[in-house]
Amino acid sequence: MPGDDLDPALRAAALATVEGFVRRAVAPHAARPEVVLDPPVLARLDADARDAGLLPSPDGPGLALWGPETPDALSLAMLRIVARASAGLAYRFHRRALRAAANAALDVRAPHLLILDGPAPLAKGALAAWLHGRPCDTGLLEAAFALPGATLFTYGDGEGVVAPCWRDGITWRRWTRDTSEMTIETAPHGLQEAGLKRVHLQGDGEPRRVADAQALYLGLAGADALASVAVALGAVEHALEAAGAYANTRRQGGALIAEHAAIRLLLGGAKVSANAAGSLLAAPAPARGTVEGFEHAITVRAAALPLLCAAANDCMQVLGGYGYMQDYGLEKIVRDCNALRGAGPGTGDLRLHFGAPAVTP
Amino acid sequence: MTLRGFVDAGDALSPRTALAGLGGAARALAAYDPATLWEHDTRTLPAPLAAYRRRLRDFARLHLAPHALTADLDPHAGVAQTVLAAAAKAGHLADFLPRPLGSLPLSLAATPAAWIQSVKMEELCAACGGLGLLIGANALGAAPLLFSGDWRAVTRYLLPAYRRSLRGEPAVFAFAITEPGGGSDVEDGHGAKTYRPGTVARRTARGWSLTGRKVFISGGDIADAVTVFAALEGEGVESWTCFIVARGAPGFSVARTERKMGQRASGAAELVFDGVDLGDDAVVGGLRGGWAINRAVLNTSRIPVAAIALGIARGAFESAVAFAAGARLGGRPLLDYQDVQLALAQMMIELHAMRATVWQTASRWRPTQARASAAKVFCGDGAVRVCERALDLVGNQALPHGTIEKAFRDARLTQIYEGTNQINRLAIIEDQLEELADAAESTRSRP
Repeated sequence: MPGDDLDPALRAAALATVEGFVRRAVAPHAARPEVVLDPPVLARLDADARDAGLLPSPDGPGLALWGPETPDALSLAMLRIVARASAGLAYRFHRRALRAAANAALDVRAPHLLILDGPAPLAKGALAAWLHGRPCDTGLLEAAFALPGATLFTYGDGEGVVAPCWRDGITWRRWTRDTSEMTIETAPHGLQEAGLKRVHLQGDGEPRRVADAQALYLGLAGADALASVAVALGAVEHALEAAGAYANTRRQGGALIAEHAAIRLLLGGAKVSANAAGSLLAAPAPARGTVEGFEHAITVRAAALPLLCAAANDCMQVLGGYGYMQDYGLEKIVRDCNALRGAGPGTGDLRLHFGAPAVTP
Repeated sequence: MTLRGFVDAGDALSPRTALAGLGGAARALAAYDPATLWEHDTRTLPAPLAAYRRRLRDFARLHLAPHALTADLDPHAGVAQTVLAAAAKAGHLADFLPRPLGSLPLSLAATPAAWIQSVKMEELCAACGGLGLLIGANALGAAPLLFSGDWRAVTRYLLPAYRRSLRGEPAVFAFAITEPGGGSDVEDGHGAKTYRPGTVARRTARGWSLTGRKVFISGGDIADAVTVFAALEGEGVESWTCFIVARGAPGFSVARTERKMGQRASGAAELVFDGVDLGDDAVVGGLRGGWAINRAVLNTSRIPVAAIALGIARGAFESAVAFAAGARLGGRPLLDYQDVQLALAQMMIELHAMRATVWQTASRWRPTQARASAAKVFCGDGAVRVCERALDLVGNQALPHGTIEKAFRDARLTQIYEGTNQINRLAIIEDQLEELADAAESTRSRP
């Protein structure tokens, strides 16, 4: 994976392009948060994102999200910019880009849906034991990954499915349309734009050879963990702006509510949380695809996402009753942050991973 | 039958077996039969209230639970009318007054209304927060009639509505205080002092003409009558007067219902009063009696609102248990895993504390502002915590539309309505002003 040694001018140009794309194409659709975007609108946005270079195009990946030449820090910065307008669209583009990276690594021609998590992400510490070469309950490990017969959830779409599985080690497998059942979830808790799918896999699928199956999984799962934080952070930054603007116009008790300590505590708390999450995201990371890189990414996720969920709630609270109404957009940010937290290992899963016994019995 | 990590109930080391083996007097003091948490809690209630709780739970399971997810996705699908009709027939819209005036059993006539309503709201909202609010908002709307002490208003407006409901035709009230420019301002004295009321009553030859708007009125879209609080023309909030406005009155309209995050089965309406003509008989509790009535109502209603939070949280917990019981990992039910047991135990602890707060606060007549607000804040914040824990437990299974993610969305409103939890914290301070001001004064006067 590329390090962040990109020419600063090139980096600045890439970010400016993304900002322009957000202003031109994303913001108009995000202006009405209570409106659910239709599939044709979403498809046009995907096309616009490809034209803008955010998503890989047939002409070449360029500096697209998670592209082979794109430093991780740049991908995260781009996602954060998009998420300030729409967390759902940011996460949609992220999952599409991740799917493209996985499909390219697995040499799959038509786009295949990517499933990273099984019914029990991280397998209650068993994956940690495996990764660190300790004896573990391998009976749990298959549930950490795609499990035929189980109800799985992921985002995006495709002609089939690719997913890591457990077969005495991490392997990658592919299912076709005929051997995978996908249902669109039309009223998910959050991230409506990202396209939540319920998937059932039939049979064992077919193996896909890749040079280092474990490194591919760790790299993609690590990217997903960091992306969820970047998207949540961008969303919270928007929430802070909206809540601050409201607090500086709304009056109560003869004063702007921004002057009341109760509101300042909410906004201040949210700001502290956002700053802390930003610092975690910006921390130097070990190479993606390694165990260290993966565990750095999930540590950032474990620490930052609860902070950002709380920050989103505090921003929503500033608006009182208006914050609860869909047209103001704050409740959507809360739901989107919750969904980012749910789309991956939970707090308990992460604690069990790092609390797994360190000593071989 | 047991869970991993625990001895079987028949084992000599199980507390069940050990306590049952005690001698007569000791066994009477310490042993108890296994029962659900719900059953244990119910047995602590006075018998009439325990029976009431059982009836409400059965009603909620039969009439609310099956419709919860449908009503959440499509609030206008007609579920509300079906549920209200069932509630009317079962007497749940007329339970402020004892039989024969209302539906309250005579055995409960001496039980504080807040306790009865709290038990009711927990059971209803454990099945569905929105449908529970649909039924409960009626009690809030009717409360000013009772708190006014104005028996003529009760006779003129409440009793006919109760008679209709008891015939199976729902007749519901809504409570309208919030204005576009003032939510918190109308919930605490400090804010009210400087607030310019948006809904005003102007004296006319025939009585009054009401003009203004009220927002976020629960059940305002379907109410047959609304208790509306308006200032007298030229005066401030201290002149607030409670008027009763019937649906269909010329000039009274429902401008819109909001698209809410949760509790969607109950509409939050914007009401418009465009020169609504009212007679003097529409005044409830006398001119300028509204502010006191408002505060009196909130001091009682905040306790059942705490119970709404408790009910929603309990629903999330019950769904989490069902999930953990049904899901398997490594050949064992998820309930066998200690981390899952710990998460569920923490939820039980929070629910227990919330219920203890609600029941202790509700069990007295004349609740204080501080205690009612404390219960509301504690339970609202607690409900969101419990729902977050449930979300974390079920992980990505909570991403699609379902009971636990809905419970979070429903619970979140309990931190906002009936006064935000920030305003309620200040209400606690306001209620303890004498004590706190005395303490401050005593240190000021120290050399």
